[in-house]
Amino acid sequence: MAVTRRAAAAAALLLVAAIAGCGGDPELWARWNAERLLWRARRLEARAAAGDPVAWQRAAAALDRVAALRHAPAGAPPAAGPRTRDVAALAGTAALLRARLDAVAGREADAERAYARVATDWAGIDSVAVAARAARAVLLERLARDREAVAEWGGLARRAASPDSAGVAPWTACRTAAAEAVRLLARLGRTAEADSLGDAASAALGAEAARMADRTIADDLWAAVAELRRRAGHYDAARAALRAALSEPGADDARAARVLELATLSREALEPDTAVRYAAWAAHEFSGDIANSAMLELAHAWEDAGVADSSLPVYKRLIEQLPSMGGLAARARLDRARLLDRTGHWEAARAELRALAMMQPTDPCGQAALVEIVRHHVREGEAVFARVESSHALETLDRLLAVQGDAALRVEALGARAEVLALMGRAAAAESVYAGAWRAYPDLPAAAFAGWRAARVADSLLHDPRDAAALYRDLAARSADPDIRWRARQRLAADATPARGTPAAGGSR
Amino acid sequence: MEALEQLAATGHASARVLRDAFAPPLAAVLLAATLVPAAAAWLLAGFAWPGLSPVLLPVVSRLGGEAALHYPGTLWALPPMLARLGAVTAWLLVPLATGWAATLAAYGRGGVDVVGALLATLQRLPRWLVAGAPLVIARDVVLGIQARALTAVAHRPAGAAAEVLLTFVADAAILALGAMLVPALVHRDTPLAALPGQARAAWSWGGAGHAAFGAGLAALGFAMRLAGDRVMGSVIGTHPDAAPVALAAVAAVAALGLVAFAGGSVVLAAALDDRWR
Repeated sequence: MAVTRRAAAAAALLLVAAIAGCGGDPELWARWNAERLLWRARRLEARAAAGDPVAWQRAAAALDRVAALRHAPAGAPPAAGPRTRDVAALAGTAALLRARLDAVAGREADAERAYARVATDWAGIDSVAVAARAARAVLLERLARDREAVAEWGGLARRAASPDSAGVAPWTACRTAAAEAVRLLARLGRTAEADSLGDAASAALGAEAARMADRTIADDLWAAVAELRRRAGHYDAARAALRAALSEPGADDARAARVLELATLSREALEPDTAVRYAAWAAHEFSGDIANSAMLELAHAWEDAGVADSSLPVYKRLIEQLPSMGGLAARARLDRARLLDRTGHWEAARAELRALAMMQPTDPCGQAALVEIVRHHVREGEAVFARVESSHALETLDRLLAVQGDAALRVEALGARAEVLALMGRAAAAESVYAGAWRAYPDLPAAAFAGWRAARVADSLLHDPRDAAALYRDLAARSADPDIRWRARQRLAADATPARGTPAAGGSR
Repeated sequence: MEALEQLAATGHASARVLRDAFAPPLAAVLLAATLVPAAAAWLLAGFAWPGLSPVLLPVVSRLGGEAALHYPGTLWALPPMLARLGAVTAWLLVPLATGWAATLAAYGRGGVDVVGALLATLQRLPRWLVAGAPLVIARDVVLGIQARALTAVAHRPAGAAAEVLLTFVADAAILALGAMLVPALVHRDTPLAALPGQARAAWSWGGAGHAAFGAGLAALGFAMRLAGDRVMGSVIGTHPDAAPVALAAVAAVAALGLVAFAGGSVVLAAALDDRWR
């Protein structure tokens, strides 16, 4: 009996200890709960990003609650265990998402400040801090604070050259940092500084890639060097970097893509013969999508080299061997038709364009085929044909727009419709269609381009500076494409400068 | 007895056992067979709690891998983790629960209570294991092949459908054989060596009834597994916290199937035997 009592007491003691959590790992429990809170907050954030205002409030509160889990100003105490650091990283991720929530809601200045705070508070955790700095740089550019954006990208570029972490997110941001800084510096007119930064970053990344030879990251670093050199117009150096990436043993997966990039670079460098060799290499050595892309590149390279007789059979082979509904087949058909048109085989080109427009009306190339037919007749001065073909194109596009709800597809179709109208000299209608596409889908970069075209038509063809200025202002404030934002701001600045200097100029408009 | 009479007797026996399963004493087996896997699901889902982590962290890590140590991976991995646990313990627990339910179905009206039936089954557990464990293991293998065939239907429709059909027939045969053995096992005076003879005798006077009973249970099990997988997939994917509740519901359905099999075997044998005599 005494033994039974002792056993019962021991069991009760064990149960109490288990309930009290003795002997367990509180860090594991804390991490699991943080992951749970973040998962729920992420779901709310996805709903908020989709435009649900109630979800926005709840997501913000949930993300704030997770972000408050960080343990120390630098993210986590240096002596903390790995699970405590995990909790700090989760809290940082929540803080990043919270800032993004502000950006999505259009509160970009608030979001920028939040990103700056996250970069400081989580300075010890690369995956959070670097992502926060990269996101802040993007926002600074959107806010027209290019100089600060350059400084942020420049700081990240310097950090990329002295890596202290193997985290994926920091590397991704760091690899693009130097290229972004160079792009912005060039835009600001600081070309010498851009060249200097590009050279320094290339050298540093190249040295790092050499030091990390035989590791997967070396391939990415060489690719970053190639991109920097390409942007600077140093094509030989860019190709040397890609060849170095090819020589890395860890680069097998990316090998095909690198060979294709070499072909593209050679075309950009106006060396079609070299491009032909690289494209043929990629087309013959590899298989699947990359081989098909390589064949298209090969056809383009022959075209650049002025050997249409070699280019046309490659296009034909590609069209025959690809499924007829694919995007690459549509591209090949369109390019082949354009080449046939340029070489004086309009009948064959028109047959190809008609087949493309009929078989793939929802593909951008299918819509471009309709525009190409109209463009040919306008260029040749065949007014009657142009009128008939434009009516047919507008009817086809209207039918497509009546049944399609996909935003990207509608923007493409509206762009094609506006282009046909512009070709037929109906500039006001074209401007209206372009502007309608922009106003209906301002979140899409393609719609921003349509907005830009609308402003340009209003400016140059309709001579309506007030309408153009309104579009430029709208684009400068809301465009999803940073380049179009910048170009719109430049146009506004250019229009404002003479108006301030010579008041009469404004009146004369 | 005519085949049609056997089928009618099978229907009556199944209906009676399903009704009895929700009332004492069989409801105790139903409850226990539901609570054991449900409790396992709750414990695995709460492995990170400091009171449980010293014991359950290595278990979850071994059963579900590194992904199961994070939310919501733990909850998404619960069904496969429980399936692995089930594969390890089913050979013991399924014959035990079957014996318990069969003893209650056979002697419950004669005054044997729930605890007494459990103790009697534990005393005769080796007999139940010798006959039951091979059948449980064989059924696990068959159902594993069936599950793989179901996932392959989209890729090779004809071959996978044939596999599903064959495994369904094999499942029905295993259940029919089990249903013929359970009444013999539940009587203490039947020696193990006499079991094949008992099964042959049961087949000769009630083959159609047992085959229909096995096929009916196999069909119900097949439908329940399909529906369960579909519901579990959608519920756990969007609401991971509901995983233990969903698994408890699945366990309750499986427990009902087990009680219906064990009790139904005993009642069916009695019904067919009475008519035959």
